[in-house]
Amino acid sequence: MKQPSRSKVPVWLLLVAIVGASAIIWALVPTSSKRQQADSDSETSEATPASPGAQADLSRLRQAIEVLSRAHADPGGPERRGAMNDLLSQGDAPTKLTLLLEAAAADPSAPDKDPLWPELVQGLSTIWQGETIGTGMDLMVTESRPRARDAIVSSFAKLALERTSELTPPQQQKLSEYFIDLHGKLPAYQKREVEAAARKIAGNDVADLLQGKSADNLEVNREYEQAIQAAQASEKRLAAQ
Amino acid sequence: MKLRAYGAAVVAGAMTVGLAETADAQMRDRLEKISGIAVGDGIQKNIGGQIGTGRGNNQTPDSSIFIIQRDPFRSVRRGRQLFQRKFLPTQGFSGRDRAGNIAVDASIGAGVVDSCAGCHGRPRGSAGFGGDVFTRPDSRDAPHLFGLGLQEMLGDEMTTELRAIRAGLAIGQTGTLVAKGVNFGTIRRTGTSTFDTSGVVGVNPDLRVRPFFVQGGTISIREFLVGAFNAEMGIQSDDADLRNAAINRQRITTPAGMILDGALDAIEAPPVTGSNGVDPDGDGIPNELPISLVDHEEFYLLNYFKPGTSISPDKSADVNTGRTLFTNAGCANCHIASLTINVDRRVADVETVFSDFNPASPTTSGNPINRLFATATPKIVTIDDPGTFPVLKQPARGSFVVNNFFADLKRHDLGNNFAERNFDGTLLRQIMTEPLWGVGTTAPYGHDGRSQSLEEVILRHGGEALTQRNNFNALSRANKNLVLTFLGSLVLFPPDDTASNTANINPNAANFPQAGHGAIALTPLFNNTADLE
Repeated sequence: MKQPSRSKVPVWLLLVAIVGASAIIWALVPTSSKRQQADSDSETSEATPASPGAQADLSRLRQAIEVLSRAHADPGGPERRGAMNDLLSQGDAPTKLTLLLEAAAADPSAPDKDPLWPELVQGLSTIWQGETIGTGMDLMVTESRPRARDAIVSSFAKLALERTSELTPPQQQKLSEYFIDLHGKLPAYQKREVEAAARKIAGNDVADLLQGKSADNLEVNREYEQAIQAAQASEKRLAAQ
Repeated sequence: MKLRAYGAAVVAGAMTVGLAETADAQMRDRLEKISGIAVGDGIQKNIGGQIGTGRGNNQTPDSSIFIIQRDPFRSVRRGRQLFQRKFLPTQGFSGRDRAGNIAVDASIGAGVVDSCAGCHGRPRGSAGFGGDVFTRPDSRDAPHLFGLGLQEMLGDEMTTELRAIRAGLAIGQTGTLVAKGVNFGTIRRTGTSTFDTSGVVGVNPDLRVRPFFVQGGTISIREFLVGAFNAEMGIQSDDADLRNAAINRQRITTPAGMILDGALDAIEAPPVTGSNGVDPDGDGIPNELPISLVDHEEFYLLNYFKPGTSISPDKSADVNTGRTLFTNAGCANCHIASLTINVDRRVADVETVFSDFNPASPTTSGNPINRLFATATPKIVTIDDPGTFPVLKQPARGSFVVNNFFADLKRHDLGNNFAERNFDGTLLRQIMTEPLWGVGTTAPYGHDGRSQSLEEVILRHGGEALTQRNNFNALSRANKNLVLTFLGSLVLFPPDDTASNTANINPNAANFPQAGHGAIALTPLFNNTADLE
């Protein structure tokens, strides 16, 4: 039986509360921690005060998101890159996830024209480990901010392509299902990513069908026909002996 | 208020305590005697024991609210045992007067059965499908009830979203009605409290999504079960919640957390009301279904397992390809794969998937009976309150993605082949999209059971689904089979015979797998595991 673990109120909860993104992070937080956060809201005497160091960190991270939310003449320039690196350097996974999605949602640049997009996607992809893979996958359908959702989808496409062996069979199946179900709603650039990922984890037929290829010559049917022909040939050989 | 993490001791108990309770279906209780002989197997509590101390509150031990809030898995189990109970005439069964006009009250045509499981009895021991009722001339099949709570919550949240769009309109403004990605047309505000609803599609002008019955007729599990107890079993309830909502137009919250607002919605009244006394069927038995039993039954169905998926490794390529063909054919436009619940009122989720029998890994192995394994995950928070009672165990109320649902909870005209005759000669044309979860195991198909196979019921589609039907029909034989293989992977299961993380297989048990096959067992999650239901 999976059980929610018990943990103390961490500093990242304070960060999250201030950054203002709560829905996403709650998806990854154990239930008991959620309740403890609720309690800490009502019983302020139990809340952990933010240290000066944490406040400085918070200020820096807020500034990083602000930098990324502005239009830039040089979107790959040092200011934006530095801001992205600040967010990517966060060690705590839920905090990092919240900040990256906040930044992704606020960024006005088109993903396929954003030189930092691959780094954002890579950063998100590294968050998905073990059990958070299953929870994170659900964010592909629950995240309502389009750019943040696209980043999550791309991060799972990357995971499927590059770390296939880390997916358990049920996770691989669930991810395949999501790719199939979501494909029709994705922007063109992302369709290609998902098709490549689907080819890796769900096979050539699924990928070909997603690409719009004809259903007349599917691998699975060819293999079936070949198996029948082989069986028939074997029967004939036996009959001839 | 101090929190207590969900106890590790309970976990250990879940893993080690054997399934001490019966795995039977459609049961008498052990305290009854049949022809003078004590029943050796069956429900552990008699009807009085199930009623307990009534509804009470969370300070009243053995009341329904006390159990739901402090020992919720016991309430689920009690609701299950009630669902499987074979009621006796002395308990009010079958006493309903069936005189009247069937064209006005179609429930008169329903047969009489002594147990909920008499109609919802397949797979074995589940709240499944299988019965047939004569509430329409062409008959109606009893649908399975797997995932019923998720369906109720989805419909309720969609209603809230649609009504919020309506409320936000200025006079003269037109709004597009979209809830959870499903488009229900348009609505225009014409005055302070008036609207032009001529553009509303797939839902009544009141914008209430009614997720139950073919025609989309009922809002809540509570109305559904109180109505079925009366119509199919002749067991009548004076349910105070339904009475207050339906007749007194109050806003009430049921113990399962469903809000019924009589000022906003047409709630179905209970069969016993102030106007017809306490024993309207005149069988001499008043109060045939006390409110505490309705509470447990509602809580059970709210939390009832969602269907599973059975995808063996050698089938996964076929299933995924079939799913893609299904989507490309446009079937998923209405049979939407996933919808998200914002606030999940359940206390647990159970994920059931294929797992081959493997005695070397008994903690994750399926059994030879159905090769499935279920993983239960509690979704509760525990709270200590003053006093000596057990902690409160409340739903965590997080969001939840309902995967492999395949419906939009919207009505559609599916053409003449799907239309249903009413007793007055009219036709019902607007049919609620059937959720496809479990569809691989629920033949025959259609609301009337007229379609013998999945292929037949797909080809029966027309009207709004004609294009999709033709797309399917244009597939090669081999590709049609892939779609059918995918649909066949969406399965129901017998919970008492499905191994899980609450009761693993024991291949060394005598007479395995008739014994030791594992189960989705709730007893180990009770506060007192020795007190059986």
